[in-house]
Amino acid sequence: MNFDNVYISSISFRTPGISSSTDLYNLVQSTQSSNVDWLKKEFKISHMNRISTVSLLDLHAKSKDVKFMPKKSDAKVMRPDIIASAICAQELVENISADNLDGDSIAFYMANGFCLDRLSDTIDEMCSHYFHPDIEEHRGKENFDLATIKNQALDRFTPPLFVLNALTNAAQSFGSQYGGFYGDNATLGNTSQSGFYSIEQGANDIESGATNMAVIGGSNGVGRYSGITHQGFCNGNLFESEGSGFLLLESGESLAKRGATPLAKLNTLLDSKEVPSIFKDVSYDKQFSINNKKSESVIFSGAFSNESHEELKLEVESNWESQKSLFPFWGNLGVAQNNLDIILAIETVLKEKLPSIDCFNRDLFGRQSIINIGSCS
Amino acid sequence: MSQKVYILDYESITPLGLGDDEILKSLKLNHLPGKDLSHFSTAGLKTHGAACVEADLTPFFENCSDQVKELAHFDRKFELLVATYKKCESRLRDVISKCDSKRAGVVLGVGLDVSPLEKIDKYMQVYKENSLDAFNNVLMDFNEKNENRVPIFQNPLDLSSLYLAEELGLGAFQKTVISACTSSTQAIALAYRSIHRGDTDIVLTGGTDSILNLMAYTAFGKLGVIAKSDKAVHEYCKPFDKNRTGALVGEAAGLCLMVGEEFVKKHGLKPKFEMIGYGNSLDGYKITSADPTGKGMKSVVKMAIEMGGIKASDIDYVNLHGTGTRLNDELEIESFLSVVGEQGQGISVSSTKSRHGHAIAAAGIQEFNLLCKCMEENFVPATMNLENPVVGNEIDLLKENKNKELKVGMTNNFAFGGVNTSLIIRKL
Repeated sequence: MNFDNVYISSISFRTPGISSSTDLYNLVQSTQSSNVDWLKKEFKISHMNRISTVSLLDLHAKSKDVKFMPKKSDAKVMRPDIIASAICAQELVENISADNLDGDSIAFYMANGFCLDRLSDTIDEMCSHYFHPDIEEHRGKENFDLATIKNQALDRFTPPLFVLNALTNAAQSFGSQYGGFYGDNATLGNTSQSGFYSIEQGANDIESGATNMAVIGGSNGVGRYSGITHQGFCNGNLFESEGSGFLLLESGESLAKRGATPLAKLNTLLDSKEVPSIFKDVSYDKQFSINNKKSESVIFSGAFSNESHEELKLEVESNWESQKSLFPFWGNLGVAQNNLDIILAIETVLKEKLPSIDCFNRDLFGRQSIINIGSCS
Repeated sequence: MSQKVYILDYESITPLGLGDDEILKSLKLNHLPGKDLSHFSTAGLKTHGAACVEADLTPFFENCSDQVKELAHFDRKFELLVATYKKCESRLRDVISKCDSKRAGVVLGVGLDVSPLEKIDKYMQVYKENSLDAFNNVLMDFNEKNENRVPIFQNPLDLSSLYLAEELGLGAFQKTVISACTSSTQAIALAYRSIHRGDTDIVLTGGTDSILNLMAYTAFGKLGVIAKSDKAVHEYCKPFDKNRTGALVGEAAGLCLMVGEEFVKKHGLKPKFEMIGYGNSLDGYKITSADPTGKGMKSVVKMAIEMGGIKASDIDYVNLHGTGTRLNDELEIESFLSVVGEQGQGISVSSTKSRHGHAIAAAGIQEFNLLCKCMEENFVPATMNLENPVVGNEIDLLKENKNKELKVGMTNNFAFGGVNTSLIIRKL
């Protein structure tokens, strides 16, 4: 689908270690190797079986995050991916320095998905007390009943706010609360294709005139459970990271009214519209990318392991003249991947004075997409 | 190109019955399926009841692969979804086979996947020595032994939409909405928008959810949303009653086949309803409560009415969200009244959650399909257990079932985190 009137006017993101688009671009430019040793020194990288993850660390410790940190009463039910969403939502608005934004008309589409991962220690504790309760203190008591003891143990160790900690739409809820977006909305889960759908929904809203602004958020949570979910789809080794990326899409009329200059233009959104496969091996149309590319430069994503990244890189090299990828640094960024690729694309277009650049993504189930980002200069 | 959007077919499995005919029968008989849980022991917990789908779903899985059966055994949401699909499979195939797969999509609302502790208890005993890692070890053991791509526990939230896409050849998109109690309501709205815009000819929408497993049930109990009462389970949920104490939790799955005007004309189809409007907003207030001014709730009712090109007085029946919890019921009805004003006196409203329970992410599709069935039969179900209503005669809040011609109907859902969604349909 082609768009004539959809611009990107603000961006915000948090990945482990990097939070400015210039730093992101410089990092990708300066480091070509696909090993992550340097990350191990700087950030918390966890290895579980054959699964590696990088977490968003100490967001509040960074000076630029302090003013955006959520209230303590909210933070106690927020996972790191949710905190990152609240921070990004506020920064997105601050970046455009606009007065009197009409929050009621700002649409907000969010991609999110893994909601239990940062609760895995809590779940372990709940389960350990349920499966092996201390029954000695109860033995001999009248009406001794193992089910009662087990359930009481589970109940005692279930945090009262567990449901809110695990809430599937928490990223959107707090993004709305802290960013001031109250319009049409949805939270979609839970692969990179959900990120594509979120962008598509917001772009359609603007192109159709339903709204002048749409916030697109993607916040990825990772850990043990996401590892279990994904491992079977990528033949073993898995490398994925937490990350959050936000875009503000805006119409030309709204930009003109504000006297603002956009960062980039959203030219096209295309996806392969093939029937995906969940139970069988991923098969995909290998002609999709070559038939639908709009530029000779690409930001690509879709690998889950170093091996699959190398394969994907070879495929991409045969279709585009120049390529960049965030995979070597953070692995797969899941639902946040498309937004983070677009942020790198915007910086690349600006720095390299390109007329446009493609963002090519393939998700876990073989769904493919190309988003073309154009220069506004 | 914008086009009209029609509802061609729908099907549900809920605590009120297997299929919409059974559900209607239960509604007319005022059947209240809420009772003490039998899926697992609730001994020692502070809450005991729920509305469950009691029927044996095994016959629906006769022709399913072993993998689908195994996934369904451990994931109740998926089990309910597959059973609902199987119930209407031939009808769906008949229509969807006429459509180019690139013009047919699926969008479902689903809830979070929480592993059923009660079903893996026996596997945990192996890890007596290291109980803190026992749960994790069991998940890993299952994962290691699993020869299939899809894990048995912690399966992808997209599982249900991808399963249906693969079964029916739905290539345009496979979306999964995870907006808590508005998930499937928003899924219906997204289906509408895709067809209305002309992007697709057909969208299969709906959703599935069940929190009737030990961990999820305990967690909801600790949050304080499940009703606590000395009364029998089927009596303790009292939406819009001054003495309400909480929700009756439930489970459900539902599907709805929406089609575009052009497709209907081309294939000579006979849809039952037209979807004419929706409203969708965020409160951005607090994760735990709705905006106390009802701003978001009011806005979606207003939006849906305006989009539908109707007056409030044209609405014959509204299936309200009405969970029976202390905080939201009064705000919901006050917000609705502030939009419809004096026209409210002619509008019949009720919550059916004291009958079938709150199905969380599947609440939207359960109540949307129920609305369709009631409109087909010109039947308005009352709010059961309502004794002391929070409003007077400003609105027709039903304590008794009634027969009434229903041409235009509305359904509203509101979610934790301040999501508000309203849908309006018109009978053809």
